[in-house]
Amino acid sequence: MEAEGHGVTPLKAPAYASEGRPVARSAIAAPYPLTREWAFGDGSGAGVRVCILDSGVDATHPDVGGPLAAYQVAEADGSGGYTVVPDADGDVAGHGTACASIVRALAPACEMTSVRVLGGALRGRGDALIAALEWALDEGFDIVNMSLSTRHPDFRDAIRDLSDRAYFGGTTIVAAANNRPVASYPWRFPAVISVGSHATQDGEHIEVNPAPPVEFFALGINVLAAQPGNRRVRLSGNSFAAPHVTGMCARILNRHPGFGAPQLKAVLAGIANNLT
Amino acid sequence: MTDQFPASGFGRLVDPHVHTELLRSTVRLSRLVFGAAAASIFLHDPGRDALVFEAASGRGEDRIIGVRIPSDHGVAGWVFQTGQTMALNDLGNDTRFDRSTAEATGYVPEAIVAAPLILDEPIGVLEVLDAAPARFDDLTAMDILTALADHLAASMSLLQAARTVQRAIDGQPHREPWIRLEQTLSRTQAGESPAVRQFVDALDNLIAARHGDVG
Repeated sequence: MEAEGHGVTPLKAPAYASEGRPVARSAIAAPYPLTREWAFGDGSGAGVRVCILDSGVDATHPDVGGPLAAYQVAEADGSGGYTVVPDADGDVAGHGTACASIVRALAPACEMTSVRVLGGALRGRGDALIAALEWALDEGFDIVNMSLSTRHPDFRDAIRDLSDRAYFGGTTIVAAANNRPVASYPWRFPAVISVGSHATQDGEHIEVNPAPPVEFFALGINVLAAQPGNRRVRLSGNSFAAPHVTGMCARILNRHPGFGAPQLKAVLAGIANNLT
Repeated sequence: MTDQFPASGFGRLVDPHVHTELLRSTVRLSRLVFGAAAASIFLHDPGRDALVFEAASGRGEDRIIGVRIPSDHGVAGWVFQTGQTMALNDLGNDTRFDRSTAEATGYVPEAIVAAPLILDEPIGVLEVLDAAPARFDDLTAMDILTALADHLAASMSLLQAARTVQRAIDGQPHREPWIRLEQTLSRTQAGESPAVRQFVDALDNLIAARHGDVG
């Protein structure tokens, strides 16, 4: 891109983190401005079923609160495959607890389920991730939060097939984008909602990205989040931007229960803060 | 000519000192860029499923090389497990974050930025501890560290490729003198000097003559 040498940024250069670019309202598929009141309803996310595929969740943390169904991926007896079983270990790592607390802050009444797919021997096991995602689709969750990705080419097609199945089956996958131009999954697939970071200190601030593959930016910088042991830390990363969009989608689905990923993308774009 | 020999130049690549210096210079560079108290590189040990300190610069550097931490603990563990760059600012909790690392190193950071080293999958983590306040915002810090990590990973992939070739050559003993010769030449200060060129040309002719293939 020779234009960069002259200080001109090409309009379509992909943005992996918010550059604060505005988007014309005329570029959004909404005939008139959407209000957050119409989009979010009472803002509780009540009745919406959210699944967190992560390192587990510490359900005893007050910021996570409420009942939480906990599962983990485990090796199936003898078959070499993986199955999903109840989990009593909580979250030894802390990443999933942080994500769950962010979702809960935005959608306090949503129904939350955790499936532990990270930690120890599960890392890098693409087939374990696939088993968990398949289980989540079978269970018919409304939203699956995936603040993780894999680059392993062996699992790309299977994860894409599951992403497509989710798209048509009414389960919305919200995935943390990578902050570098690499091919990793599932965030690169158009069937999921991919999320990068902005730094505006407002958990409800969302930007639609005029230069995908990252589609939306949510708060991912200096996010106050829960940690096991009744602790809190400030975290930065796309891992913590995705749960903000998951929380907003839970609010929207409480108000508009029939919406799937395509409608949710349209509504998120319609309420984006960077429309001009 | 030496440039016709497929292994030319890689005597240096398979030299373990190059690997060590690459890691050392990267942690030093990272610490300096961020004005950080310390920087470190962990590489994953699949056998023990642990992250091992391979290089460090700054606070605690002399005591942590070789120390292992669980592969799913602390910010390094998260970054390794998820493949995502992250930053953490501790809020002064009574129980400090990342205790396993703190116990291993004797140094307890308040702020961490960490980026994965990715080949096909994450193979390790590059981390800076307690960067100079206000030098970069978190978004910029993560971008810079990600770029440094990608640069290191690309270099490491070349080293890994060289070692793969080395293993292949190990099975072909007749190649071994060529490697030794290349290593010896790479240590000379002569570089492109006429003496080296004449020596290599003469050697080339000698070999060709022995094979009855004088050009």
